[in-house]
Amino acid sequence: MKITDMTLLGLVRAMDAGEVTSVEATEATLKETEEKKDLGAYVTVCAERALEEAKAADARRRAGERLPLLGVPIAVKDNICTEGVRTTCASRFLENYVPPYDAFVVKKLKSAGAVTVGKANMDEFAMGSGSEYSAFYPVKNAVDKTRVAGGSSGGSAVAAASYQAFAALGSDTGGSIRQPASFNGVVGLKPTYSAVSRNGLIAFASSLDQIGPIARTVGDCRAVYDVIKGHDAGDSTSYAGDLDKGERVTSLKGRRIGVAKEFFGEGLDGEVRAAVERAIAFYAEQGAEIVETSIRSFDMALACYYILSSAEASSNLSRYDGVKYGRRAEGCRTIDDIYYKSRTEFFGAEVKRRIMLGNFVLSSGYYDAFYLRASKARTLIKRDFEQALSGCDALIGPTAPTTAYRSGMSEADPAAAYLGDVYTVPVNIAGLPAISVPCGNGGSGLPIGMQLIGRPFCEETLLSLAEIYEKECGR
Amino acid sequence: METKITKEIIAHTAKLSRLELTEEEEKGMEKHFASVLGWVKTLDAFDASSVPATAHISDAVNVLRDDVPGEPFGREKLLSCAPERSEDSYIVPRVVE
Repeated sequence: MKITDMTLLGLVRAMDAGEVTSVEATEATLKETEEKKDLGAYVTVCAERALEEAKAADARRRAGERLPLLGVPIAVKDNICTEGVRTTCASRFLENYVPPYDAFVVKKLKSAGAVTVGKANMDEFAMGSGSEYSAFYPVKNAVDKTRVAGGSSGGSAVAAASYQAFAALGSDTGGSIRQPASFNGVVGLKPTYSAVSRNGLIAFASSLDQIGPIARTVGDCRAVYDVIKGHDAGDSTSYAGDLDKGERVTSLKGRRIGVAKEFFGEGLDGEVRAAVERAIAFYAEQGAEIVETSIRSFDMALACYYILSSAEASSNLSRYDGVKYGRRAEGCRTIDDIYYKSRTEFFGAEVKRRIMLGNFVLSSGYYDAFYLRASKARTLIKRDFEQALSGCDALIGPTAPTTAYRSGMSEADPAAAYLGDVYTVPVNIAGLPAISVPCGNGGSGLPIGMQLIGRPFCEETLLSLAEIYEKECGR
Repeated sequence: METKITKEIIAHTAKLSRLELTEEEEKGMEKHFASVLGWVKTLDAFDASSVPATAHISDAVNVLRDDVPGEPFGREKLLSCAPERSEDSYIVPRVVE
């Protein structure tokens, strides 16, 4: 077996048993990144640094140390700050930005012994669903290079799927972990809002953003999640209570899994529907009770999401002023010159669309009709999920309405691409945890993903439900 | 609510955003706004007067850290990120005449 084909947990066991070293695993991983460069999964590969970290991990292991991720090569999305390593957000604006600090999750990874392979490519500022909006080069799908990787954590998903890392960190504002995981046949966990610190995550929409893991198996996702979760005084929204409200489900007898009809409406591709229905049938066969339920406010979610996320983005991205960090346009004579020219030159088209939309819905005369109304719709969506989940352990549905689409399709009508986020955005609006798990392939061999949505801080319930499915039906 | 997106609205919003748009970009933006704001009709489905707004999903308010002295970032470390700097400060054009 090739070292890179091992699971993350398998690699840790093999290293602990002295069968493999971290240097060997890291060299093999770096070789994959070299051979699969055309997929565009990384903005920056930290070869030298990774090998240094691997050597150090091997020394610690020889000295008897055991840590959950000691010596494991991991990719980090390029919107997560890494001290001394360029962090671009896949934007020209931050092309040369080298953060003076590590994000909380990076500190956590380091203290668990992980090796950082590199910084994963993405849609600029995490705005997009295909990873085609990277300012540098697009990410290609790991299964079919003519298709999109999904996004915005496309590089993270492709790195995990194509053995260029044993796991990756992504971020999910409206589906950015789950949808690319689904498009590339890997597992992606979007934790409950506030379960993982956002300190050092370059902000897009602060009330929706959440960091989480992408890996090839459910168990590998759990291993990374267990390391990165936890309270952080450096993020005022970080949750200080009990993060382990879920339970490890071992039998489906007496479990209730909800199916909300709105997740199976118009626009859902036939083969995706069939695959998710087969998964539902599996849970039923195993003894779970399938409960019909409803999210009545579902149709409001897309408008609600694009209003709220763009509003927050317009505010967050006002910090890019060409003064404190990032780039400054040439030949500026006044301070206004610096603002206008730098922002016009260094933001990409999609980022400009979001900033514009956000400033519009917040502007005088339109605030009540758009921003305030969307904030109220958010209350209804949150309530509907609470109600649906009060009667069951998890909700099940498709992660995305289709499999990975052809590259270049969102160019003509960028708004049409937003419709692909229809099943993922409601979960962020409600702040809930959700996991995307592979559940078969379409006729063209493209992976299909299903989504399990749970109650706040019940990640373990989702992980163990997903694991039962994976064990019987997975790869 | 029906809101007609006009050239003037786009121009004003571009100013608020500190962005310069070409004529073509303005047209594209008008079309994009119309598409996305078209979905806003779905938000008319409820009586807004009876529903409170949710700005934030968690219940936490004004969380304060303990007042413990710590090491601040070094000046050089932060200044090294600046696009233009002198020895010990950020450089910007004169803003006060």
